[in-house]
Amino acid sequence: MESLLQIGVFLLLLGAGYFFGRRAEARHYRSIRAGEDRLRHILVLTDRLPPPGMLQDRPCMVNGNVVISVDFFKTIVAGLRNLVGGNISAYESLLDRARREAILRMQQEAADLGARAVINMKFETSRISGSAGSAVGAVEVLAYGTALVAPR
Amino acid sequence: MTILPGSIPPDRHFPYRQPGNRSISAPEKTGMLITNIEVIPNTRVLKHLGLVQGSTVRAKHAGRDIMASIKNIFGGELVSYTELLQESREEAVKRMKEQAAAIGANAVINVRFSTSAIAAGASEILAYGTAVLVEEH
Amino acid sequence: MTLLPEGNPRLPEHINHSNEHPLREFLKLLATVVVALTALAFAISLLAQWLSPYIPFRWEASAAFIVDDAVEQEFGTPAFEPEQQRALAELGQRLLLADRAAAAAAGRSEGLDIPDEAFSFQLVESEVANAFASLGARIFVTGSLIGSVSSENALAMVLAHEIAHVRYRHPIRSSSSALVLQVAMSAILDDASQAMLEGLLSGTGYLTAMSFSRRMELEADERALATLVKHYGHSFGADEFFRTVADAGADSRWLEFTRTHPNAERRLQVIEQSIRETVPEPASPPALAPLPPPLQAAPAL
Repeated sequence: MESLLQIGVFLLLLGAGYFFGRRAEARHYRSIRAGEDRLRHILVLTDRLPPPGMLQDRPCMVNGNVVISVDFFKTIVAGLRNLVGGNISAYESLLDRARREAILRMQQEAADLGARAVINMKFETSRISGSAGSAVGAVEVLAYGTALVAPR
Repeated sequence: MTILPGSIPPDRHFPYRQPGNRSISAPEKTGMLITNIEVIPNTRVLKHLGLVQGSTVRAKHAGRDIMASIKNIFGGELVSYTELLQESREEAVKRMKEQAAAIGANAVINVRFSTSAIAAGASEILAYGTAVLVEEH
Repeated sequence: MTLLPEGNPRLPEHINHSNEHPLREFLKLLATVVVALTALAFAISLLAQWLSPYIPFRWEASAAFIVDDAVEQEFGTPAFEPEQQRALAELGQRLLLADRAAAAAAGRSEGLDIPDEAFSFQLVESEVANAFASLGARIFVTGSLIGSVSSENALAMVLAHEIAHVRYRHPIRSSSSALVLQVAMSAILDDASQAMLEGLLSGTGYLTAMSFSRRMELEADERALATLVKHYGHSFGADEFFRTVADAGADSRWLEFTRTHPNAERRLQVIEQSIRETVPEPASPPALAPLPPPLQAAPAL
């Protein structure tokens, strides 16, 4: 009886994680694509030197970060993948969203400064532990770079 | 030659790279040049195209896990994990090249790698750089 | 001159994240894992059952204190009179002699290397009527079971059945496969999944509620009936307990027993067959021996 209850709770959490998680992810991707279109004019490059034409610009460090949590469904799928092996597509989509969101926030900060481009962009990704310590709780992605603001 | 637990046998230093087998990043294999320098010698950058990234999150499987637990007692190189991470890195670079090819680039400069532990047993390998169109001088 | 682009490139979507529907992937993974784990568990369990009878009884006996601790934890210290415990042990010893004699007459020799002195028969307190054999020739009977049988013959059937389990080394065979599975699980899964799986299987009670396979139960019944016939000359009265179980069905007192002893109806058939063979005149059945006096007053909790 008790084990039946445990299975029931597990399936409920799994269903909630799947349903709400998929909706949140789809919504987030839509907003990411809209943001990328909106901020497309702020160039993001990993070049270390300012491109010709921007050599007189004022450099200014900008960053954007985001913390996204996993849902229960992703955790279970990752657990199964750990037994079978292969790409964990659940986490891949999570990290893809987080990276693109972080870049958007960095671009937004650059746009607020009036910059035209962000160069020498780097990522920092880290894991924020969940309640059980070893379980994934959330993932933080930081995108930082040097924004080049056109001289007045 | 005796192999003690914890040692790395000499001919196993580079199990995945034999002489004559160039790495997957070599341009003659895929037509796309990957480099982490700013200016490629003997070439001229025609056009910057933008940021491209490739990433994978790979999990080990139960077999590798058990071997690793055993190695935790004896020490030594975890060859299966080394191969796993190398495969992941190659896959990440491949995805980055795919993005670059999709926007019409033929080289990616200022490439950076980033590895992070996402969960116990799952690592994310990220490769990102600036896609450019180059031509030889 | 290097031209800068107008804006950041429009990149194709599904390079860094997969396009596959998450439910499909989940179901594929689940199917793979379930099939693989089932096959592995089956293989391990077969191997353990095949190898474990080779463990000498001496080793099993030296590890039997684990059983005593587990029983103490689950049932507490019993509050029975020493005469009651002695009466049970005395009946057990009589049945052990009968079992030896029956085995010798039939030319069977399994388990006879286990010395009679190693057997221990103990009463434990419980609301449920149950009897079980565990490692180290430890046999436990609950007070409720004593209270629910009306003749020594019925009680003897239960005791002889447990003796047969020990003689056939069923406890070590079934507990070793559970033990090996537990070790394998802890090697593969991490702590969180292991705890969840254990909760699902509720498999840590294998020392005190060991369930044997149907074949093991039928084998034990067969041997027990032979013992009874040797001791009493017939197996009349052996069916009382099983009849009560089959009738009671979902009664909560018997729930624990039926859970660990499935197949009660089939076993009842076998016992009735034996009664028909050993009672020449059904119209005038032989007299049943009464319970030993100290056990007649055992409370049915």
